[in-house]
Amino acid sequence: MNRIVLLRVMRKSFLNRKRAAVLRVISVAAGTAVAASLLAISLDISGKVSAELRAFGANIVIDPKVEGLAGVIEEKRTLREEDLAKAKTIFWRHNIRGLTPFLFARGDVAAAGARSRVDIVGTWYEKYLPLPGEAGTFRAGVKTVAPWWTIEGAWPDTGGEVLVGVSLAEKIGMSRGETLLLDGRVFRVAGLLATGGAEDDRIVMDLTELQEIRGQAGEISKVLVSALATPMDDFAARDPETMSPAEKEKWYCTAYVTSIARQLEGVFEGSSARPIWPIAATEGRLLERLQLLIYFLALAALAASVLGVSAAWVTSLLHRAGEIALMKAVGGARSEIMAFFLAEGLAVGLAGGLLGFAASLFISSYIGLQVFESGFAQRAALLPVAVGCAVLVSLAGTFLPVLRAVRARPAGALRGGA
Amino acid sequence: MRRRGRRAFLRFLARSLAVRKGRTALAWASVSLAVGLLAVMTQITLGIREKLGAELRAYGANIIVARENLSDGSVAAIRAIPDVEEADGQVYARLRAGGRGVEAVGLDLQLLAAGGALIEGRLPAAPGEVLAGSRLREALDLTAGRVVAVECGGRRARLLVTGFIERGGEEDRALFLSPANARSLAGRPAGVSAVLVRARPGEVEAVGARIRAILPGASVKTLRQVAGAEENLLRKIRLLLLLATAAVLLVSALGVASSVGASLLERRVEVGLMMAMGATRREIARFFRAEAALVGLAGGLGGFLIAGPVADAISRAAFETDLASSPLVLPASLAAGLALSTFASLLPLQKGLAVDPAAVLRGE
Repeated sequence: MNRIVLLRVMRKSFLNRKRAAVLRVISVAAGTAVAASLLAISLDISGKVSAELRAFGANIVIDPKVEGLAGVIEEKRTLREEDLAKAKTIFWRHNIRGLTPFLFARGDVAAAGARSRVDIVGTWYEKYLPLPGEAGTFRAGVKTVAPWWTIEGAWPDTGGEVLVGVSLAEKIGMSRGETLLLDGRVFRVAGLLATGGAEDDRIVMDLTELQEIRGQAGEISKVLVSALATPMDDFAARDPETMSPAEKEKWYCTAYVTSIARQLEGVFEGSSARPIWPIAATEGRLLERLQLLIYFLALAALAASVLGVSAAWVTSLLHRAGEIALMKAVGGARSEIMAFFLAEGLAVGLAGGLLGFAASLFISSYIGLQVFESGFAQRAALLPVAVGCAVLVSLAGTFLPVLRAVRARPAGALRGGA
Repeated sequence: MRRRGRRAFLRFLARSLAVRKGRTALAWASVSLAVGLLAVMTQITLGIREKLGAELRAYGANIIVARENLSDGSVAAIRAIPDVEEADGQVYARLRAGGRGVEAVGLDLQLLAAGGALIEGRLPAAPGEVLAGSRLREALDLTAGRVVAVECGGRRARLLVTGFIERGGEEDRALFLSPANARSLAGRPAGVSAVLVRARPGEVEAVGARIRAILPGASVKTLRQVAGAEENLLRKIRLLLLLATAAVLLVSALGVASSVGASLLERRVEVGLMMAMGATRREIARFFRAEAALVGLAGGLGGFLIAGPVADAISRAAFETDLASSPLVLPASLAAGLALSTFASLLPLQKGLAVDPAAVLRGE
């Protein structure tokens, strides 16, 4: 008989406290949501920042290999344009975010009645390469390795147009829309190029057109590559030739900028690929620093979740002393009562954990979109972690207060005092 | 309040806090943790521009100034402009070596070495020593220790190659030496060919305008490669930290509200007792608000004490420098603790005061 009464008391206790239970679930959910969001962010931030750092420009340069006698007599070597498509076949092909070839030449320009000898560079503005063995295309071109190029006017989009660097334009008295004679051919100036760098003194034109003028079909002077790379460390700084086969494999399979460069060298015939150290080294350091910072964010997340869940603990058992006493008075054993409250704690933890995880998906998406214009990767593996932590913390918070209340004498609690 | 009344009030307050040590401690801990967390995150968010900025400096100059006759004084003048982090003069000379034209750049060699390039050998130290770009190794058949004969505008010189530098750009075909050396080769008595300036990210345009004002006729170009990307990156990181701080703030507030608020709710019996003893609602409210304020201030202090070493530890771990501590942190922490505690107790206080003393004393 007492058993039935006990169960009824328990049921009433649970139902009466619906509002309190909901509040507890919300507290647990809030803490879990923030913790899970920040954890998700900390796991992916490195990739996002790495992609941002590509805005600083190419971090690998591929030149023709010049050695020995060839160097001394300054034999002009070139790379093969057809090798460019092979860049997306290396092990680290998915890390290649930008790629563009350059062909350098000097030519005679006649403009505004004067003739001068100028530097010309041929490149791709924007070109979609087929991906070998896959559907889809890869966007290459100078826009992918030098996003800071600013054009006063427009990018050339038809044949017979060129870009003129602002400094050169001033020197020879050119402005956009005008025409000039380059090696006897007529070209229209589609726009003026301002970068602050060497291009300001050059004429930039389409690679294929320059190759045609010069009779250098299929030849290029240099390639710039923009790749997502892992920061260098002591291991990566070692000469790969001194590594054991196992170490070398590890080096190959880590996206160090040196490793990517070496793989690119393999597909470009007669080439020497090197990291552009001022870019590569700086971004490595930046990434390292930010990574550490983000680990801290994850810790802050944990602390925040403790705060959130502690709210649940405190609200949970304040009014329970009376009920616990009642349960004991109708014959409930300590273990039964404890089991009941722990089950409640478990339920709150589960509900709050699930709710919090769902909320964290929105939160981290929102933050990702606001900051990086792309959401953070949602990892299913975080779900059990989030729920597990929520349950653990909820149970931990339930345990001690319940233990204390259960040990207290029923009479005092039933009277409503302390 | 009469003086006697005030003393009684304070005594009551102190005893009340002492008697429920456990609850008070929990509330205090909750406020401390919340304030501490907020303080650390705020300090990091505010300091990130400076910290990352220091790292971004390695990307180098974002403005280049050139003019026919730039004096050494103009470099100093540029350095004096606010928001200029660095300004370094460079002297250019066009040499002939091995039958071909080679650029020589005279600049601060220590800076060159710090710029992230790969250096083999040692930096030039004595007059007549140079650092060669790595591509010249093949082009001029050079090795470290070899002497290369150069000629410039009729002047001849023999330069000792002390090492090689690789940056991955066109500079790999240049020779690097001290400005004084470059000047003597070029036959310039003094002055520089160009000044490479690093302005604080975000102030590049403004600094450019100031330079144009003090050096009329100079070409002042923004190195867009660096300038735009930096500002963008800093902006994004700051936004990220801001949003994360906001999220943590919300959860902290919830936690504190629960802790502080709940402890008020359970004291209905006390409230009933006070009413039965003749205290007015206002006096009771004042009493509880004072309690909340005390806990809030103490929590703010606790949070400040935690936040200091923690923020420093993070700063040192991530950036190898200390956070610049501001005198505002302590008052801000105290204020935050006070605010959190006060707001947390508003609603529970209202509810707690709406008691029927007789019913509560009876134990209902």
